[in-house]
Amino acid sequence: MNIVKLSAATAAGLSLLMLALPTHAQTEAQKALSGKTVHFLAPSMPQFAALAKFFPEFEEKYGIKVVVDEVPFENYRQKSLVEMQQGTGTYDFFAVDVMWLAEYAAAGFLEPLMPYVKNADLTDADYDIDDFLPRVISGTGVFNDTLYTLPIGAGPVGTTFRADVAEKAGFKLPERFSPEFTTKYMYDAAKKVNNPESNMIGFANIPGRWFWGVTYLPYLFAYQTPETKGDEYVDKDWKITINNERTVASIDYFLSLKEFMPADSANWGIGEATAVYQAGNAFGTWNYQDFVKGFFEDPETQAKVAGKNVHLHTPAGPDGVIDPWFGAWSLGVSKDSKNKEAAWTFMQWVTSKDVQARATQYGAGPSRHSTYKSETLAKYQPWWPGVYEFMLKETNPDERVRVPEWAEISDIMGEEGNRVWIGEIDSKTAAANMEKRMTDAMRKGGYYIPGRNDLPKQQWRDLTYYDRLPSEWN
Amino acid sequence: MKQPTYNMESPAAPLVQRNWWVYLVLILVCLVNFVPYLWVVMTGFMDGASASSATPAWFFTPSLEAFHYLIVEKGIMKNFFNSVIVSLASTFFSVTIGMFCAYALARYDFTGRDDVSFWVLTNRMMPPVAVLIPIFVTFQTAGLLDTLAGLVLLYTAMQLPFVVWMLTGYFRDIPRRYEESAMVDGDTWFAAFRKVTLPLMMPSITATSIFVMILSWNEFAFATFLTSTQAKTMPPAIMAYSIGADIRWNVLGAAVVLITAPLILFVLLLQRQLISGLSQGVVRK
Amino acid sequence: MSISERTTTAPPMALSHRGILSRFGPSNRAVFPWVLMAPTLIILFAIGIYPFLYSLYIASHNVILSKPYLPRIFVGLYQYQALIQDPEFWHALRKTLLFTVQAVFIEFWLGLGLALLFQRQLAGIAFMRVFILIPMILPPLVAALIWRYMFYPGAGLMTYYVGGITKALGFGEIPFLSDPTIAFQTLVFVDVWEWTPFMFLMLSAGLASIPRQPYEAAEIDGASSWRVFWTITMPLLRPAILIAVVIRTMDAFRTYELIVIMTRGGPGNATTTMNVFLTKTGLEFFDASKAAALSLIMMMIIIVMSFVFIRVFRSKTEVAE
Repeated sequence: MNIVKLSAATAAGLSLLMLALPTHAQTEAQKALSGKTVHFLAPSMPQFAALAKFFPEFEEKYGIKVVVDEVPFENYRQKSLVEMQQGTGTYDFFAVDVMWLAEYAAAGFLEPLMPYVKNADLTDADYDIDDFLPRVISGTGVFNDTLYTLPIGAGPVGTTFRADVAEKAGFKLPERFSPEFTTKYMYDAAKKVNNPESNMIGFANIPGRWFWGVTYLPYLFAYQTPETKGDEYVDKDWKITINNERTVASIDYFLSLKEFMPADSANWGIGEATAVYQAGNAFGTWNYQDFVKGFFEDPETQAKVAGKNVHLHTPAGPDGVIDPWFGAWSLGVSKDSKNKEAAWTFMQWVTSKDVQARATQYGAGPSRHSTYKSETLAKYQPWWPGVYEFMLKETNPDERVRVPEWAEISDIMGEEGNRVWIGEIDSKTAAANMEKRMTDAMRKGGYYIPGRNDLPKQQWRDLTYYDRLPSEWN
Repeated sequence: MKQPTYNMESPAAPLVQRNWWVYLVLILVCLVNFVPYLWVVMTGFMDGASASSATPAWFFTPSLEAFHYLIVEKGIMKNFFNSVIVSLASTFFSVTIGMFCAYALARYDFTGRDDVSFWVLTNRMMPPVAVLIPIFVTFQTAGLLDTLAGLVLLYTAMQLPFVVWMLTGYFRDIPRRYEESAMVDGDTWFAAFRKVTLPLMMPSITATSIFVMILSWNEFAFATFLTSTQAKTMPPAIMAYSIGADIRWNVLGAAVVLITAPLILFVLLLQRQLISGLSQGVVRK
Repeated sequence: MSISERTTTAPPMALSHRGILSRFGPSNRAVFPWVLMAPTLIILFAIGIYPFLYSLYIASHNVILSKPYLPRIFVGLYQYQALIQDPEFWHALRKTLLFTVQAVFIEFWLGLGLALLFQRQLAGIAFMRVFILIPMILPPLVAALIWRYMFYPGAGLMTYYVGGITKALGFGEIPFLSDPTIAFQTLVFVDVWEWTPFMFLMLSAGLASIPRQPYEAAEIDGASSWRVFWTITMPLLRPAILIAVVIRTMDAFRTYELIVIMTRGGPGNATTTMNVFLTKTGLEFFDASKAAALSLIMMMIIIVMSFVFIRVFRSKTEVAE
C-alpha cells in the first residue's frame, strides 16, 4: 500500500512534467493537414469520455479539429453499420467493439492500418507498435492477418467485493487470480455475510435476459475442464455443443446466487446491480475492468464504497479453469473517409505512449506494455497492473465467438437462462433449448451447408496466433 | 347520492357544490401523474453522489453539476435550438398542408374519399424500425442527411396523417353555409376560407399543433439515424449524454428539465386555447 | 348550394381566375378537392413509397445486413411462411394484442372518467389539467427510463414505498418486473400512466363539442343520468372516440421504448411483443428480410384492425350527423 502511495506522488510530479514537455515533433506531412476536421462516431462510454479530454490538446498541437458524435450504446452498432454500409463517409473513424471486427473487416468497411503505421511522415518515430500487448492488438484489430484497428484499452471481467465487510465477518479475500478464489469460495463467502435484513446482500448478480452473454459466461467457462476448453459453444465443425452437463452445472451455480437477491431481481441489469453495490448494500458484484473506476472507485460519487473494494477475477471452477474473457474497444479508419491521413494522425497521437499513459488518469484502460508499467496507471487505477500477465498470456479474444450469429446466440442464452431464473423451466431444459435454437441460428447462417469450405477459422484453438509481434501483421 | 356521477354540465353551468370527492380523485390523479416527473426533476439538481443514494432522497443540497455538464461541457443548447427549429417548422408545415387536405375531405363528396382518408392514415402504421434504412437511403440520395431541412420534411410527413384526421372532424363541425354566404357576398373561395372558416378553426388548429409539436419535439429513432453532428436534436443528445456504461440519473434529470420545459411552458400558455380549441365544435347546429 | 347556384352567384371569382385556375379552382367540385389534397398526398407518397417498395423487395429476398457479402437470393414468400411457422411470432402477436387491448381499454375508460370530471367548473381545474398532461409531454424514452428508475432496487420510489408497505403487511416484496404476469401488467400500468392523458384530452374535446339541447330534452323527460350517459353522451361522442381509440390502438400496438427500456422482453419472454421481436430481428440480428416481412405483417394487422373499427364507428357517425 505504501509503495503505491509513494509512487503515486512521484507519478503526479512526472505527469506534470510530461505535460510541459513537447513530446512529438510534427512532420511536414502532418503540418499540411492543419485546418482539417475529422469526424468520429463513438458510443457514449467512459473509455471515449476519457479520450475526449485530449481533443483540445490535439487540436492545438496539430491544428486538426476532432468532432465526436456520441450515440447511445444501444443504438451505436446499428448506426455505425448503416453509415458504413451506405458508404456515407460522414465519419472518418469509428469506434469498433472487438466483437464486430471480423464483420466490418470482411465487409471491407475499414482501412488496413499497417501502411499508416509504417509511414514515417504520418506516424511519430516514437510510436513503437510493438509496445502494444500482442494479444491485445491482434485480438482487437487483426482480421485475416491484417491490422484494421488500434485498441484503446482491453480488459477482463471480474468481480468486486467489499474488503471491509469480509474483514468484519472475519475473513480476508484472496488476491486476484488466486487459485483459492473458486466458485465454491465465492458462494460460501457471500453466504457468510449475506444479511438482507440489515441491507447487505451476499452478491448482486445480473440475471437480466440481455446480459447473459456478459455476466453468465464467466461461469460457463469456469465449469469447463481443461479437456473441454475451446468447445464451450461449438466444436471444430461449428456444431453447437452447449447442451452438456457443464452448461447445466454452470447455470445451476449462477442460479444458486439467486438466494442472496431480493424477489424483484430477475430483470436486474448492470445498472441495478451496480446501484445496489454502490449504495453499500451488497457484498459483491460483477465488474468489467474498464468500468471499475467509474463504478466503484470514484470517491466523489461512490463515497460509500470507494477505496474499500477488492477487485478479483471471476472465480475458478471445480477444475481450476478461469474465464479468459477479453473485452476491448478500438479505433478504425473508415474506408469512405476523405480525411484518412488526418484521422490517422489523431489515432496515432491518441494511442501513443504518452497520451495513453496520461489518459489512464481519466479512466482509460491500458493496452501497451509501457502503459501497464506507467506510474499514472499505478496511481489512478492500481487494479490494472494485476491483470498484465493475464492479458499477456491467458486471455482469449474469441471467448465470445466472433461470428455475426453471436448476437443471436447471446440472446438465446439470455432468454433461456432467464427463464430458468424465474422458474419457468429447469437448467437441463434450458441447455437443450439453447442447443436447438443456436443450431437453428447457425444453420440459417449457412454453417452446415455440405462442402462449404470458407467457414471462419477457429483461432481460439491455437492462441499463439494472437501472440505474433504486432509489427509482423500486414 | 342524488348528484349523478356523470353530470353533463355545459361550461356555462353554475358551480357545483360539495365537490370534495371530485377534488380528492383529481388531486390523487395529479399526484400519480406528477410525482414521478417531479422526482426525476429533483434528481437533476443533485450531484452524482446524492443521485446514487440507497433510499429515495427528498432533501439534499442542490447542485447544478448536471446542468453544467450538459450545457457547458456538451453544448446541448445547440441541440436544443435544432429541436426548436425542427419542431416549429414541421408543425407549421404539417398543419398548414394537412389543413387543406382535411378541408377537402370534410367538405367535398367525391369518389374514393373514404379510401383516400384511410390511405392517409395507413402512412402512420409502419413501424419506424422497418423504414429506417430505406429512409436513410432516400435521404442520402437527396443529400438530406444531417440537415434540419431533411428532418423537417420527414416530421412533416410523419405528422400529416394525424393532422388530417384530427382536423377533418373539426371542419365537419363548421357549417358550410358560413362560407357560402361569404362567397355570396362576393369573396373568392380562398378569401372566404381565410376570413370565415380559418378564424373559427384557429383554436382547434392550435390544439392540433400542440400535439404535433409534442410528437416532433420528442422523436428519437429517426433523429438518431439521420443526423450526426450538425442537425442533431435533443432526444438523441440527451440519451447519449445521460446513458453511458450505466444511467447517470442526475444528468438524465437535468436533461428532462431542459427537454420538457419548453413544452410545459407551451401548454401552460396555450392550455386555455387548447381546451377550447378541442371543443371547437361548439358552433351549434 | 348546388353547383349552378355557386357559379351564378359568384361571378367576380370566375372573372378573376379565368383559364387554368377556373378549371381546377374552387368551382370545379370534382377536381378542386384533389388540388387541395395534392400537397399532402404528394409528400406522403414521396416519403412513403420507397420504404414500402423496399420492404416488399427485401422481404422477398434473403438479406442479412451484417453479412453484405452473401448473395441476394429471391426467396418468394419464404420469409412470411417462416414467420407463420415460428412460435416466437405467435407468442409475440398474442402478447401484443393482449397489451394493446388492455392498455387501450383502461386508458379509454380512465380518460373518459377524467374528462367527465373536468367538465365541472372547479376552482384550480386549469392548473390541474397541466399536471394531468405531464406524462404525455415526456419523450417516450424518458418516461420509460423514469419508470425503470421507479422500480430500481433501494432508491426506486415504487420499490421503496409500495414495496415497503407490502413488506410491512407481510406480503413480502412484489416482483414488479420479475414475475412474468406481474411484469406484463406493470408495463400495461406504465403505458396507462403515460397515455391516459392523451385519451383524456381527445375525449374532453369531444365532450365539449356536444350540443346542449339533447340534455335539456332529457332533463324534461326526467331520464336518469346513467341513461343520459348511454343514450346521449356516448353516441354523440362517437367521432372523438373513433379518432382517440384508433390513434391509440395504432400506437399501443407499436409500443417499443417502454418495453425495451423496462424489461427488454423479459423476464423470460413474458413481454416480448411484436415490436420488440421486430427490433431485435432487424436491428440486433440485422436480418433485414425477416424484419421487413414481419413489419409488413404487422402493418396488415393494424390496417385490418383500424379498418374494422372505423367501419363500425363510421356508419353510426354519419347517421348522427
